[in-house]
This record gives sequence, C-alpha cells and structure tokens, in this order.
Amino acid sequence: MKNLNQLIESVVRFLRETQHNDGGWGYTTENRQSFLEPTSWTLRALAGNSSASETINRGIKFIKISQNEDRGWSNLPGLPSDITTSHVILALSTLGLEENLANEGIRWLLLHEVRKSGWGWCKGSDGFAEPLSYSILALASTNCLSENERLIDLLLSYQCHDNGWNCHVPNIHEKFLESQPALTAISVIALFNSKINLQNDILDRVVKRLEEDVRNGNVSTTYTRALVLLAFCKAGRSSSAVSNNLRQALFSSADSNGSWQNNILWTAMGCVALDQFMMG
Amino acid sequence: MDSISQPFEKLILLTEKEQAAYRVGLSFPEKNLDLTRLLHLECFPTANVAIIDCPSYEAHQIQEKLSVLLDILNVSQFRPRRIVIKPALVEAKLPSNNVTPHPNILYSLVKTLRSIFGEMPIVIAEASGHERDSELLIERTKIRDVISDLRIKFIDLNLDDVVIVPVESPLTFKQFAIPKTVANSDFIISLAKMKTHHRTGVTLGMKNLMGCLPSSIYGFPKNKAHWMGISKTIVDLSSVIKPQLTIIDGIDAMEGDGPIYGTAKKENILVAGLDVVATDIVLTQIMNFSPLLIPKFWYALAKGIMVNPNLIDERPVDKKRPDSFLPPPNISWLYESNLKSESEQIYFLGKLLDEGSHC
Repeated sequence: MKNLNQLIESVVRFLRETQHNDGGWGYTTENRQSFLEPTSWTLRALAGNSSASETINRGIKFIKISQNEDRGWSNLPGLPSDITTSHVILALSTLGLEENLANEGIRWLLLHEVRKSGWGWCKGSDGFAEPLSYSILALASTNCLSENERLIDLLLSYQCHDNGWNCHVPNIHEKFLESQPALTAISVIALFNSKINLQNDILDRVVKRLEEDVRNGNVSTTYTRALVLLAFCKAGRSSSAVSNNLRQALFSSADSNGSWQNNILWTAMGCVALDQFMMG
Repeated sequence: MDSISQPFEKLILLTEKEQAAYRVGLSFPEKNLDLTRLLHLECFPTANVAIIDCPSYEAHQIQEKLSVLLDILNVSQFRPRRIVIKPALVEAKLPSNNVTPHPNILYSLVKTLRSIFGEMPIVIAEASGHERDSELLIERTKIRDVISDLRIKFIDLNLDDVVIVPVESPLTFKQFAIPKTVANSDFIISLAKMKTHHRTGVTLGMKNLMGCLPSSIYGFPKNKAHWMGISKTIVDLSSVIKPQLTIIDGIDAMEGDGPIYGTAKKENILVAGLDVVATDIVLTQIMNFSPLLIPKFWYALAKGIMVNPNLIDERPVDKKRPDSFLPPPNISWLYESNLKSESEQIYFLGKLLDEGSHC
C-alpha cells in the first residue's frame, strides 16, 4: 500500500465484502453470526464514504431488526439489551442518520444508569470504565451530555494510580493496579469528547500516560494502536512525533487485502483512527 | 433469551457485607443436604487423577513428565477428532508474573498429544476475562511463540460464534452462551495454574471454564457471571462443559491474594486428571484446604457432579504430603482448615452457612 488513502480504499472494500446477508458483520471473517459491536464500528468506518451507501443502508436495516422491545440493543441479537446500545448510538450519530432510533437508545441508556457507578456491562450490574466511557461518548454524540460533570468525575474516580485506566474498578481494590493502554485510550477519548472543561493538568497527565505507554513498547498491537491513535487525535496531538510513529506502525501492519489479520473489528477501528488522523 | 441474564437488581439491594458473602458463594440454599460427605468423599463416582514432581519449566523435562501422566491416565484410549486446549489466560501477564500457565507446559503438552495421537487438529482457545486485545494477550503470555513454533491456531473465544446451551437444574443461569469452538469440540483440555482465588478460594480446572464464556456477551470482566456468584456459575459450567482432561501447572504456584496479586509458591508438581472436579479436589487438598470449607464443592455436591479422585501419586515418598497455602485475605476461614479436627470443621461450616443465609 503506497499511501493512507489507498489503504482506506482497500479497507472499505474489505468491509463491504465481509458484510453478512443480514446486513451485519461478525468480529472476524470466520464468524457466521453478526454482532452489533463490530457492525457499529464498521458503520463508523464507512461513514462519509459515498461508495458504501448501499452497504450502510443494509447495516442500518440490521440494527433496526436487532432492536429489542425495550429499545436497547445487545451484542448478539435476541439477548437482553446491554451496553452495546452505546455503540449503536455512536454509529447512528456518526452517520447522521436515524435520529429517532438513536434517541430511543439514549432513553434506554438513561434508564439503565446505575446509581453511583455509571454503566456496567449488563443491565443492573456495577459500572466499569469501558461501558461508562462509551456511554459518555454516546451521550455526547447526541448532545445529551449537557455538561454532565458528574459522569466525568465518576470516570476519573476509576483512574489507576499511574493516571491510566484498566478493566477493574481500582478504587475498590486496596492495591496498586496497573492501567491498560487500550482502556486508557477509550477513557481519554470520552474525556475529550465530553467537551467538559477539565483542568489542563488532568488532561496532560492522561495523555502523558499514553505517550509513556507508546515509548515503553506497550502499544504494539492493532486493537491498542487504533484506540491510542484515536485518543491522540481527540486530544489534539495528531501532529506529534508519537502519533506519527503510531500512525506509521498501524499503516504498515495492514495486510494486502485491506484488513488487519482478517479481524473486522480491528480493521474498522484502524480505519476510524486513520481517518481521524487524516482529518487532523 | 432472558435466561442468560438474571435479575441483578435484587442483588444490588443487598448490603455490602451481604454482597461480599453472596459473591464468595456463601448463600447456600440447600439446607437439608449433608455437606459433611465432602469430608471423606465416599459414595461418589471415581476418576483417576495423577500427580508427578516436576522441579522446572525445562521443556524436555515437562514433556517427559506429561508423557508419564497421560500414560497413567490411559489417554490414548480416546479417539479425538479435534483437540481444544483451553489455557487460563486471564490477563496479559508475562510468565514470570506467575498468573498464567507457563508456555513451556503448553508447548510440551502439544508435543505429547502429537506423540500419542499423531498429527491432528489442535487449537488453543481462550476468552480472556480482563484483556480484550488478544494479540497482546498471546504476546505477553508467550503463547505466540508456542503457536508459531508448533504451527497451531489460537482462537479468541471472545470473538467466536456462540451457541445457546441449556443448563440442567441450574444454580445460576438457565442457559449459557458457549463459543462454537468449545461446543463443537469432542476433546477439551482445561489447562490451569495452581492458585488461590479471592472469590472461590482456589482457582484450578473448574474455574478455568469461566474462560469459555465469551466476554462479548458476559463483559470484560465477566460481570454477569460474577454477580451470580462465581462458585455457583463454575459448577453450572462444569455440568455443561466437561473437559476430557484437566492439567494443572503446579510448578510455580500462587498463594495468598490470588488469582493475580498473590505471591509465588514453589510447588514443583504437575497434575492431570480425567475429571475436572476430582482434579480440583486433589489440588485443594495439596494446598491443605478442606473441600468442606470451599463453597464450589457444596454446589458440586448439590448439583450431583461430585467425583471422588482415585489418586495415583508418582511423587517421591518424602514429598507426598500437603503443603500449606496462604488463603486469600478475604477468605480467611481457610486458614489451617485441614489442621482443624473434623468436628471443628463441621462447626465452622455451620458458621459459614449461617453467615450466607442472610443473603
């Protein structure tokens, strides 16, 4: 692949070709079932691509038929609604389509916030950084966050001692827990997308945490690279040397068929991150 | 499909203390069941479990020891079409962190299986509960070296298609969403590490089956299953997924605040068994914990899946004794549990059940 534009073209081709008959996508090319999480990321990757409009329409049709009676979504259609709802909202708002459907999802999210801990992975259970971050992103994308500093404070309360985040709730463990770069990136994206005025030192510290992770070689895989690059872009650091190196590493690790290891989720995430990078 | 979810709201209404008791499995509802049967394990079906000393992670030595173990268990009697090895890779930690089974065990196991069954499809499969990035997972745990050296495939069960499997007489979920790779396999090997666990007392072959639940459905961590009480969930899972072979890496074990933050304990053993519950019983006893005081065995008894290990101990005579593992701080009742007399253990059991009856 000679340049980013060419890569993105072949990514779009790969994503179009791997769409299932029901309009959804699996996590990898080996799946026969469609899941809402990779479908939502793929639709975000295809947003704004005029050659993919038919593919996008079929994807939206899949989202519509997968909606539960309570107006939320689950990752695998037919299961009880869960935090996948936030991914669907993000996809719909990125596409700028089906506003009513996105609003129904928002209502589901607001109804299922867990007092004091935000959102968990499933209905009624405790909150964690990742589902909370994606819910913040979904609310922000539909202008429903309305300066909700409480949610940002909550996200900050899940922070590890090293200024990053991980999949646990560190403040209930009485021990030092290391952060995970991918989880830190998701949280950083949520912080910057929330448009809540935060003290600069808080934002600086979280971005520095990610930069340190890159320097220490902790960002060496597609999933984590894509999220960390996206976080740098959201934080306005896309022109930094660290971002450029990361972009190059992501770009050069793509396969010739326009995918990253035939993994549809990683491919869609990589595409979203590179797109964002190109937009500066 | 609501049955793969549960009414979590009622659990949130419990006090913090009650929640803690619930999560470690103390809320045992079967008042009339004679749990003291766990003291002598009589009148249960039996299954062979073999144990051998193995002082290092040197691959040739491990392969030699595994060959002995699998020979004792007559593993060659099986005619598998496809073997799924399920290592317990909960987090992306280096082997030196002592959290995941050592890669040389996996390497030697595949070599041993090939020497028994010839060239056949063998895959390594895991649905990590704490790490979404499976590339990072296999890189850090050094499993990547094994799969590239031996040219075998790693399947991220978190991304696999799933089938819905009903649970007979469920303690927790009426159905499980199980990855297709696991559901379609005719030979599953549960490969775990010998460790203590802050929710279940011990984490061995049964607990490893939690890593068959896809986090794409159950969450990272698998919150749905945690909330229902891990002890109960793993017993339900053990009734649905029945590994043909369980292998435990007890060379460098972990005690105290396991399964991730405990301290290393050199134990120098490898254990293999034909039944996952029986294998866990043997390891629990070696850790010097009484099965009577470990809730997962109460539930296994209630569920009718208790199996009495028929132990074939190949260790030198002077090493055939239990060691004393430090229990996790929040499961302090396991302290010296096997040093107590039977009547003291039974008294203690009554106190535990009383504590759990408030949940």
